[in-house]
Amino acid sequence: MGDNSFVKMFKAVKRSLIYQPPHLPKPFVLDETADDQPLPFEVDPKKGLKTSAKELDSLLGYAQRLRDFMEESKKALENQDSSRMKELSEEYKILENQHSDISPIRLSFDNEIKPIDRIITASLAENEKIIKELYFLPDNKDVVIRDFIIPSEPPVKAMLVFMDGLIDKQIINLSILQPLMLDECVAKIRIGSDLLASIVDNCLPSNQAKQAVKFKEVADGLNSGDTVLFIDGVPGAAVVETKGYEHRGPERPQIEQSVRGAQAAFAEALRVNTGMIRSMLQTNDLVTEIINVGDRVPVKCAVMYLKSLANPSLVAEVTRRIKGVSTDYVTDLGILEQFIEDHPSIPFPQMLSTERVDRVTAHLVEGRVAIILDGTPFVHLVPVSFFTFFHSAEDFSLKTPIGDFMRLIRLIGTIIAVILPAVYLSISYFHQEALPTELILAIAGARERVPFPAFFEVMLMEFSFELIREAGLRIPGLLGSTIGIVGALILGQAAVSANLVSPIMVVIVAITGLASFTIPDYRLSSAFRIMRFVFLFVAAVLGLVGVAFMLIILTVVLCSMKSFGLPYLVPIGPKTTGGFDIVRRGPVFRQEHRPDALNTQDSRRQPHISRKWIKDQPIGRGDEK
Amino acid sequence: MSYHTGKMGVAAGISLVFLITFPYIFLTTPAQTVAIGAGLAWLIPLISGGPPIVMILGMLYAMKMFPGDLYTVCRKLIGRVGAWAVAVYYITMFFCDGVLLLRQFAENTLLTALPSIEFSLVIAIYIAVAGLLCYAGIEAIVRANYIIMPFGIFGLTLVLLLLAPFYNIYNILPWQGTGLENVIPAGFLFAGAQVGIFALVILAPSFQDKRTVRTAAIFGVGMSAVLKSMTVLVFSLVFNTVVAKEKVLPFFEMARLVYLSRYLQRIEALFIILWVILGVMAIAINFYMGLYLITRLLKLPTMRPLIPITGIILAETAMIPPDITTVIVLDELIITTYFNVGVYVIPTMLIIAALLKKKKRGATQCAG
Repeated sequence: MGDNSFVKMFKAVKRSLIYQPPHLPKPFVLDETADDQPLPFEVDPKKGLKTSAKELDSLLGYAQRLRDFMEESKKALENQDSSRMKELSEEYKILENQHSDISPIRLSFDNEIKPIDRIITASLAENEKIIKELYFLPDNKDVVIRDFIIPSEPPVKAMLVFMDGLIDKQIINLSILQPLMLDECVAKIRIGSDLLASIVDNCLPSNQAKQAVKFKEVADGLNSGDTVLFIDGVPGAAVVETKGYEHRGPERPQIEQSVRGAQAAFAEALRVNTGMIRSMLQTNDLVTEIINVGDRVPVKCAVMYLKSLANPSLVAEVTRRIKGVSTDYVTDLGILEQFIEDHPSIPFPQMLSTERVDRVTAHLVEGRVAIILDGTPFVHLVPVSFFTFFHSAEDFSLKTPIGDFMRLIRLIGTIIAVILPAVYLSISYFHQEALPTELILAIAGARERVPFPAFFEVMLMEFSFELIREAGLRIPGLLGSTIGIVGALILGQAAVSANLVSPIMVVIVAITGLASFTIPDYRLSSAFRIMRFVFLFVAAVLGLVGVAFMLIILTVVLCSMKSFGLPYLVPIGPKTTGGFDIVRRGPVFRQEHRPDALNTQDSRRQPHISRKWIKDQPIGRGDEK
Repeated sequence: MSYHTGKMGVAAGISLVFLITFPYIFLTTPAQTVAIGAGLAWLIPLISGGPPIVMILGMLYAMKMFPGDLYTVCRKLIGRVGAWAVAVYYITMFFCDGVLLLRQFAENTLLTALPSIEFSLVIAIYIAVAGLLCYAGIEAIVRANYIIMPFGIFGLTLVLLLLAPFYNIYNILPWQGTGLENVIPAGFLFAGAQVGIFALVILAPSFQDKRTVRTAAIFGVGMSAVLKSMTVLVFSLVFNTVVAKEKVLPFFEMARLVYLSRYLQRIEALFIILWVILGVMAIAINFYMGLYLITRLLKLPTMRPLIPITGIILAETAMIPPDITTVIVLDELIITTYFNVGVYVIPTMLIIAALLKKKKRGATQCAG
């Protein structure tokens, strides 16, 4: 029975008055994944079936091909087609090769292990299937599979696999497809057991082409931009170098700018970086070892050193540590650094990080080891001492007194950056007698209107300074530095006008901030920024006694540190032969030895008299007196 | 190459000896010295440096025949019980020195830098920092001291030079002071203050060789003695004997006296950093040496778990004396008696035992 008019009217009124939410699908919720690790005695009932299905699939594929072959053979025998018979005899050899892949034990083993661990089979179809499984095709659109036929006698089926976006299409077309499909070199191919070698030798005019046996090698090649050639009936593949991905080229240094010296900085591409180093160090002595870091996504890491100089145990230790890193993915050299350094919890850097090629080459020639990670435009150098971080790229490009002076300024700047606010606080709180009367009266006068304790003042200013610094870094482009300067000026002036801080405090914090910028290494500067706050807290509580305690703790911590086996404060703690490149930067012609603590294979850099010309007779008549 | 893990060099050795023998200069010792020797007081530190050097050279001679560290040598020469007794003596000696230094430096801090702070808090902070330094290890401590030492020597020399306008040659008259018959015995008696030099033979295997130990002993004590002597001399020059012997903190008073202009005066506050650093490092070294010997004696794998417990015990012990005067008197008494056992008695005993054993061994070999 239908509703009467009254009920209909009631429902209509109700519908118009009462809010009805729209019928939407349930929102997405990121559920917790089911535990993918089965319990110890739990057996996946479907696993055996899956394996059996895979085995059957492989057997069926082979059976189908065998059936086709037999039908073709029957036809050829009936027609007495001798050329076809010849082709079929080659086909028979291919089938014979594939037969070894479908033995029960091999099939069972192959289907149990991961696709990446499998060995390349002789069946093109089977290899294609593994590639599709390995790279999740057809979901993954980056991997391209190109089937083609090599027009040899008899024709051979082949397959090219490459990663779109990583390869150079021109190279594939001209160096692989054209020779294999069109050129007369195909005639030189020897059909038989060494077919792949024959193709690599005769038909692939690529600068790098190697044979692969495992899918791991295939995957490594594909992931790095190579192209892989599979041939039917051949249990192997050719990995051909076709890299052509986009990357930034070398540019001017952004962080370590210098007035003198080379102006080249590293880029993201590993091979570009190693090439830049090699172009500056043109010697057969320079060795580049490549290590893959990362379990899930391997990233290439290069270790470079001069074979005749670097201490072999140092090189072995560096490679041991890098190989000993087990993690999913290493995005940056800074992350790798934390995995391999001696003291990850101490904020002081234990490797020298540089973007300058000339700096890397200078340290390699001293006997250090360079670590380069693909995708990072910085190179790390090990081992280093604390004093290395105060050196700048252009120290040696300038004359000795200027270089010395600059280094002295940096050291004084560092001391000021760390302890000046703490000393000011200590003196104003606990040791006023240390200042001349006029100065203490001036400070007292300036602080008279400020309603806060000096500690609050200094913390406010330091915190504001850190805010401006961080904001200046985050604001893009030129705007950042402009806002930083304007912000600091306005904020300082406004804080003084508002009687929040005294002018002397603005001066102290400004000097401290400026001094902190004299530290050449950003990471060392950051570590000292943290230390400055610790010093401030201790000075507020214990005055100069606290500063003394912190200084000694800091010194002892630095003395106990090591950078890849090298004491951090070498050559002064422990004392070793210093040379002229620690605090002072001596004349270049008096630096006969490499740093003693590096224990290089050859400690001598140059003979005692490196300027041999001073002993020689000058050309011409000389200075006539 | 001059660094090896666990192999300390001459610089480290000098630093160790200097660190353990020098900080007395920042305490009341100069005033006590002046009270004994008057105008000739400067000779006492120089004399007191001699016997420890001679004794350690004798010990090194003994160790040449019987290699090893002090404990091993003692076991070979005077047996297990004797070795235990010697080790226990040095443990108590180092802890005692550490406790006395801890109390005196804490009192100094209260008197000169932080008058309003709670006394036990100062003690706690000192021992905590010393414990941290111990945790870093002996190599880190001596390396740090090697870095800081030049600044310390420079600072001290600077104060002594800045006092030049206040030098009054008549203050050290008569030249003979209280007479050589008082000064020379006092010098030998105060040799106890240098007993820390024996840390070198306790840690002998950590040094590169015997020559390193010998050089470190000679230069470490020598430098310390010369600087102490210079300080006592300047102290006597600027204050006369009567005033000088009344001073509780001679170095602080000297720094306070500096006045070259209205911009260079009252610099004592800046030198707080210097004596606090040297003081806390001396405490840490004593602390470490005591713990090292315990670890060695009981064959423990590491000393680190002992650091907090021992630190608390030392801090509590340092707070036992009722006032600073008692501590100063006790310090003098212990230095001139108990510490001298470590300087004179034990080394002499070991040298004689070594000679006797050598003679016996020679006789056995001849007979054999």
